Amino acid sequence: MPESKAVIGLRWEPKLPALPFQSKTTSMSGSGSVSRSRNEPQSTSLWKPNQQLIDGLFLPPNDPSKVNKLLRKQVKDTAGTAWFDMPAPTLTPELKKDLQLLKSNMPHLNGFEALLLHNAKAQVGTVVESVTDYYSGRMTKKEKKPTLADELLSDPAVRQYRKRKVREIEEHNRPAGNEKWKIKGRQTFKRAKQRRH
Amino acid sequence: MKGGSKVIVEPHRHEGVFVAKGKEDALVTKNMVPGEAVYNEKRIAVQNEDGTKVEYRVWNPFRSKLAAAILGGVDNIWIKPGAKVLYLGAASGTTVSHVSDVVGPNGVVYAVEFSHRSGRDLVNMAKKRTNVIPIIEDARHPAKYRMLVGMVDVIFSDVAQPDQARILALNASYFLKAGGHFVISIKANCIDSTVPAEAVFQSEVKKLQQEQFKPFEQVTLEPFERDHACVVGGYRMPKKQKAAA
Repeated sequence: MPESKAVIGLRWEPKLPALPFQSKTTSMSGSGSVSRSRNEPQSTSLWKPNQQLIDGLFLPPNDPSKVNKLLRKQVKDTAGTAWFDMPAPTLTPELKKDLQLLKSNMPHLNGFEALLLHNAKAQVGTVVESVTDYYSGRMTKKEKKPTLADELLSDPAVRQYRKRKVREIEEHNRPAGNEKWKIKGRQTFKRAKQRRH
Repeated sequence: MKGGSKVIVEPHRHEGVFVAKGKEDALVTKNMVPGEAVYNEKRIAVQNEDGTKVEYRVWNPFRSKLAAAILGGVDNIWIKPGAKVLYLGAASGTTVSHVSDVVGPNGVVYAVEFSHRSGRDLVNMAKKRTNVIPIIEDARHPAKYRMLVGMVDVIFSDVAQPDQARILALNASYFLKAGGHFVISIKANCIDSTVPAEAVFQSEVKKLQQEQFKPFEQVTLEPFERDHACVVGGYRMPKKQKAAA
């Protein structure tokens, strides 16, 4: 297992100069130590903060349970052999938006399932264009979009629906004004009494 | 699902099966032979973060009864990665190609088809898929191909013959392991077109029960096929162990 070797081996401390803008922000803010600890990135398998290194080297912990925990963290997350080891993607903002859009398509989703969505094993794919497709089965260059979210938003049917909904809500929320008191024409309900006489 | 549109591929509840979600959703399987479509179905290309490329093929429920059964909500199809499957009534090999995708490189699909004409397409498909073994023989005579087929975990039967329960039982007695499973698609019109479909399904299930089959569930393939049912069950199931007193 290559992951296990990575833990046991020694890792050199990267000799990186302190970033200048970081020190500036710490000097400007009042409580320097607090903001500094927030600015420092979390320790990963590749990079450790200075306090965790011994003589500039990373030593694996002695405790076997801690080693196991470290190992488990380094194993790549997949959907398992039953789904041919489909890898979990890094959750970029674009992918997150796409997943949220898919979720909004499913109103029955409860909180637990929404949580599952957060560590979803999902891949973004493109439908392969076939030379045998007729024009109706293809997209124009303009219709092709980099993400699913863009594609759904550029759909004219969706845009029309969105526009109608916005108009409806705005109309509903508009203050009444004097429209309510106006008499609109001779044959209206408000002229009924005059018509009777 | 037009060419060039984006979709998100996720694992399905059934092992080895995936779902592509986008403007429309579709059942897909991971293509064993990337770059090749078997029956002009749509394909979905995915680039992994480590640079490897994966391809999925859209599984049309109108052309495959197994896909229709999955979309119909069957509890377990028993066909999963690494399984050995005997497929009776393979036809041109459209569904067989998806079953071969599902079982993957560690599984085997023995595809039996009697018709030479559609068997030709089946053989051409099997040329590119190492886990498909095409057999052009009559499924009524399993003795003829007993030297080609080993013990299997699952039998899928789509023969649409009046005596299909007998054909399935005959093949199961030769090749299906004890505690194995069967999936059979029943077309009511092919068995008896004079009585209502439900009565036909019931009588077929009765016949199966007499042959040491134990049907677990039955789903209708209704929006995709008319008067079809899919029955899933076990064969020579071991007796349940009584809880220790």
